[in-house]
Amino acid sequence: MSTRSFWLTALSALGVLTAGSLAAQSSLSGTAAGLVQNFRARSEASGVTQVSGTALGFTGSLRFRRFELGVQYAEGTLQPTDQVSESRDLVEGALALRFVGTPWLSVEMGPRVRHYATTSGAERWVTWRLGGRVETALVGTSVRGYAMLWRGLGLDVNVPPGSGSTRGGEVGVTVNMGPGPLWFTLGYGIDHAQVRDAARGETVETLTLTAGLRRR
Amino acid sequence: MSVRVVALVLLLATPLRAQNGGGGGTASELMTGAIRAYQDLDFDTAARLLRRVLTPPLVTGLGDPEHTRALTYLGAAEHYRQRHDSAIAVFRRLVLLAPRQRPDTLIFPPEITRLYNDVRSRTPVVAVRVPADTEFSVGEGGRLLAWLYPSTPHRVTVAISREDGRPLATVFTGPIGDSLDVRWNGRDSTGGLATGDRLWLTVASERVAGARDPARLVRIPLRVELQGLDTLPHPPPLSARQLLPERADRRSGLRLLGGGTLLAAAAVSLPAILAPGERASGTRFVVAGALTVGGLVGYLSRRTGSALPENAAINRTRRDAWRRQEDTVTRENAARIRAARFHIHAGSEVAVEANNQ
Repeated sequence: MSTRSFWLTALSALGVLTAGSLAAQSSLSGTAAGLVQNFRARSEASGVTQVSGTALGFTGSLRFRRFELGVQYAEGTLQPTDQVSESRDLVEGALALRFVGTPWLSVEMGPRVRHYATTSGAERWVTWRLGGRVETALVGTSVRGYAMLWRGLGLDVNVPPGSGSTRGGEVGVTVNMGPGPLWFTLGYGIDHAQVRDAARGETVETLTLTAGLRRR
Repeated sequence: MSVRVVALVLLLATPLRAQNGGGGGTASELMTGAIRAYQDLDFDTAARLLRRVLTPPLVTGLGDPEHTRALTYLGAAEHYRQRHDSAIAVFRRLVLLAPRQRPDTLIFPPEITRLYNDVRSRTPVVAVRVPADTEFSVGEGGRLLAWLYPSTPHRVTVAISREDGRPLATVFTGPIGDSLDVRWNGRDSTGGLATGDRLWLTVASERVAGARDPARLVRIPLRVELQGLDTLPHPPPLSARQLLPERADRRSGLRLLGGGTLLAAAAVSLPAILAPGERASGTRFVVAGALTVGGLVGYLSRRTGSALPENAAINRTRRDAWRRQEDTVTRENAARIRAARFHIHAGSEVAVEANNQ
């Protein structure tokens, strides 16, 4: 994690915590968390490229009644897992607006930008996602499982320029540490993008461990 | 022929006029004649004329002052005719008609006023005066005001009742001396606003100890209108179907195990669903394992009858929401009730004897 991203992470976390403290005085609630992500990408165009690595970042949310605004940021360096691929830096950010219909069902929409920096240039994937998420209790109120599926409303890639379709999902488990504000999440996510014009596809798998605080 | 007819008419007209006692045909003329006869000590003629005045149809045209005057002279005339019971009966009628009335001591001697006072002391009745129209706001603490004037000191009960006689509120119970003001705030005995278009203001006089007279009621019809009262309905109470069970049953644990297993299966099969043909890594099994273990722990920890804190939390949220809604409606209704206005129209009083008391 670079110095820039460290300060960005710290600043964002501070912002979310401040929002959380405001939430204590109003009907706002919020979360702030840091995350460690195992990232594996397999890209197929003229050839197959496979990279993997660890990314660090943060995630946070701010909720007002049934509406929630979520933000996520992660960056890291991916190393090739084959002989032909080259290493690359990863920066990923996502924004989502959620509507929490019931305690166990919510829908969300928002953009996600994935940026690869390689020696041959920068590559950017922009996806507009629309998805739904279900939650269920596993052990009282302390352990909950969740599953989310989303579909891309639009995909835009700059190198080579093109658009296409994308879809993805995530399944995980959240552990709330007693009545306190501390919580952990372990989630597995996968998304698959297909660029139409360039006949190119990419599949990304993530295993994310998140640790954070919640203010009600 | 015509001369004969005129003569016959004159012949018949003379006795008819004589039958009227020479006092004229109207109530006023008869009263004048009766009083002149009384002053001439012709009590028989005075009594006869006064009884005619106090009998329909003439009595219906009398105002209250003329009516009481006629009764006073009639009572005195009957007394001097040595008809003691008749005099008492007439004076009782006078008391019931006008409890505050007293014979003029400049006209009537002490023996008449003494007899009248004796009758009055044994005839407890109350004259009630209520404004024809009263309007007041519920929130500003307005009142319907009634002035009570008794014939003699005694105990009274002032109450509001429905048209069918069912009691609504007791306004006053206790002794009344010279006069009494009673106020009614438009509410029933439970504090609720009086509903019902037609009500009665009833003043029940208790029998005086030792007297043989029956207890009497004075009733005044009230037309009560509550203007601007449009309250909101309260939210229906939460039913059992709207609340989640707060204790585990046999299936609670199975549901948790099923949920964990289902999510684990979803984690494992996610690559096949979203990226068919791709060779996925084994990291998904870590999450699938955690979900399975979570479901298993939930199943084992959830025994029949154990508390379900997540359901209790949801129920608490629902109850709080219901309570907030109820409080909002209550506050809004209280504000609307405070702003509502009573308009009470009072009719003429009616005096009746309460024979059953």
